[in-house]
Amino acid sequence: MKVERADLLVVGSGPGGAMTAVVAAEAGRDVLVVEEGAHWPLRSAPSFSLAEMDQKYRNGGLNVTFGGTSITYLEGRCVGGGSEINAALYHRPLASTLADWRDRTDIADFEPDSLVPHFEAVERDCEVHMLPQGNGPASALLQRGAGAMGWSTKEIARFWSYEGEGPRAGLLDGRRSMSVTLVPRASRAGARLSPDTRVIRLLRNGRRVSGALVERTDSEGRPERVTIEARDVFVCAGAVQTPRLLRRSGFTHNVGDTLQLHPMIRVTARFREEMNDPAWGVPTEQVDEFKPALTLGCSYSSVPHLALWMGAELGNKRAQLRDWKRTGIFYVAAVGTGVGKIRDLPLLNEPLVRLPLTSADLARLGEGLLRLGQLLFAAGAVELSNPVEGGKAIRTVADLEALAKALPQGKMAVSTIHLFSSVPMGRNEALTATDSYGRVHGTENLYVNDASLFPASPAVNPQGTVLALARRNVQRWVG
Amino acid sequence: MPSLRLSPAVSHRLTRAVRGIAEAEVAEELDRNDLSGVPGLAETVDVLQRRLLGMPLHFAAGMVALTLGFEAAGTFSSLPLERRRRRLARLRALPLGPLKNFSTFYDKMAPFIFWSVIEEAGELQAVLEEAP
Repeated sequence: MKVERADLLVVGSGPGGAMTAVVAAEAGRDVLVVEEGAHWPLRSAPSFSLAEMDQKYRNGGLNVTFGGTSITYLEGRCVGGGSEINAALYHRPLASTLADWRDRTDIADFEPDSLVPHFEAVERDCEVHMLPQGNGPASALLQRGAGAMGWSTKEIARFWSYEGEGPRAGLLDGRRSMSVTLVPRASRAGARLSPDTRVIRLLRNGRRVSGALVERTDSEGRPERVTIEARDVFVCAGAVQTPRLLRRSGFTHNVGDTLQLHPMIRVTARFREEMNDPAWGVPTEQVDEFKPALTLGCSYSSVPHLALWMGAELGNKRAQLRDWKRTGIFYVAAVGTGVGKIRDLPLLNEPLVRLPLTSADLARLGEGLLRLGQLLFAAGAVELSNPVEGGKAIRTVADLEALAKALPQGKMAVSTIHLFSSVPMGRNEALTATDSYGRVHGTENLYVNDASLFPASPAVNPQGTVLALARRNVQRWVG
Repeated sequence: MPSLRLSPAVSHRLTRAVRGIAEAEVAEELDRNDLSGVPGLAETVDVLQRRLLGMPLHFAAGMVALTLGFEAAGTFSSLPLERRRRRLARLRALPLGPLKNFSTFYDKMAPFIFWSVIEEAGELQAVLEEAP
């Protein structure tokens, strides 16, 4: 069998893996990054299109949890990972959230202020920017509705470049994902990238990991097994795939037992005025009045996506879709309280993910739905879709009140792209799988460096926190 | 990783079954029982079947079995569109269970894929504006 060698093997090229590779390679380490997915150019397909789902999403985006309510979760499976397919929104978590993490699992050297230099570096190196001028009509509508309710909103920065000529420069094509920021930077520093390479298992030798057995697929689809020998290994494959790889390699202590996520429900809302202009891309305004528990906002609202979220309760679909410029998709995202497990079973190609949507989650989502409806009607909405299958169209706040009090299990489309906490970090070994810098307990040279490490929800989009945390941890490893 | 692989005979039956459901879903979207001249149908069926087979095995296997069973119980794909739409409407009204998941998959994915195909082909406005 072919053997390759590296000082550091990084599994996964999403935000955690890309940051790990950059810091290690720029410190002069010999780094090999293996990525299960392919290396597609950033603009190989339009954002949120079918082609993009085929190229860059794991299983075309059709991953579902088991539980009272199935939750569809999205994972990137390409060079750059989730950063290639998400809305590219950037947040710093609240200091109180980070303090809670520190106390929850006893994380060493984790004063909230200590992460500030890492967030600043992320904002600089990954090109985090606000819109240079103005905001789109959907964001303006959200602001107007929130204003009428006396609630605050905030424009969210993005991993985005708005350079170019004209007021709308970069709005659609300015994404700064890992494949155009940190991955090429790591390559310039000497890191090697191996796409289409799946890790079968880590090679364990007592307290050490000597590398990994991988299967690499060539351009004609022929698989080749390769042993990669490495002095140290960082696993950065995301909150589902990281614990899965650890477990099948024999590392199970607190691994894959505590997955958490941000459940999200959506409604479509139709207005009298035109408010949906795809040229603005993803609306960046969010209602932050109810954070950290709840976030309200507007999604990308193309006709296919509207068709996905509109229900039969609105009547003739084509007539509704003809009005697409007056219709948008709006969401409620909650900090979930359910805790899930990730397990592989023989003969299956993907793990079973069991995670309950708890009654507290339903109550929180119901509260969010009521708030969202109040805002949308205050902004002039005529009609909302009903997130509960078989429900009636929502035309007044009163329609919402009863619904919001008792959202049912199993009858709503719930989704998420924010998953975390499946391999938590900290000094409290009863609660965690790694130490305070991501080293797996009981090992000398195996590390995790992605959203799996979060002890709990970041209460915001996790990508910025993943990058900052990964930078902190790998800098410690570099020494 | 292996995805679900079918024999040519089963694959052929599956395509017929998926076509039967996809056509009924598109007919529902457009609120018409004659799909002649509607673009994008073949590609919609192709993408929908690919999505079905590309799901994690533990979902794909069940969904394929239900799809084939649904077709077998009354040769669904050969029914007039009006009857197919009525049968899907009855399915939607079912309480929780595997058939509900089956119905939700097609109710969500078929419209999304159809309108995506139409949009990518540059025919969105024409299809939206066409008189019912």
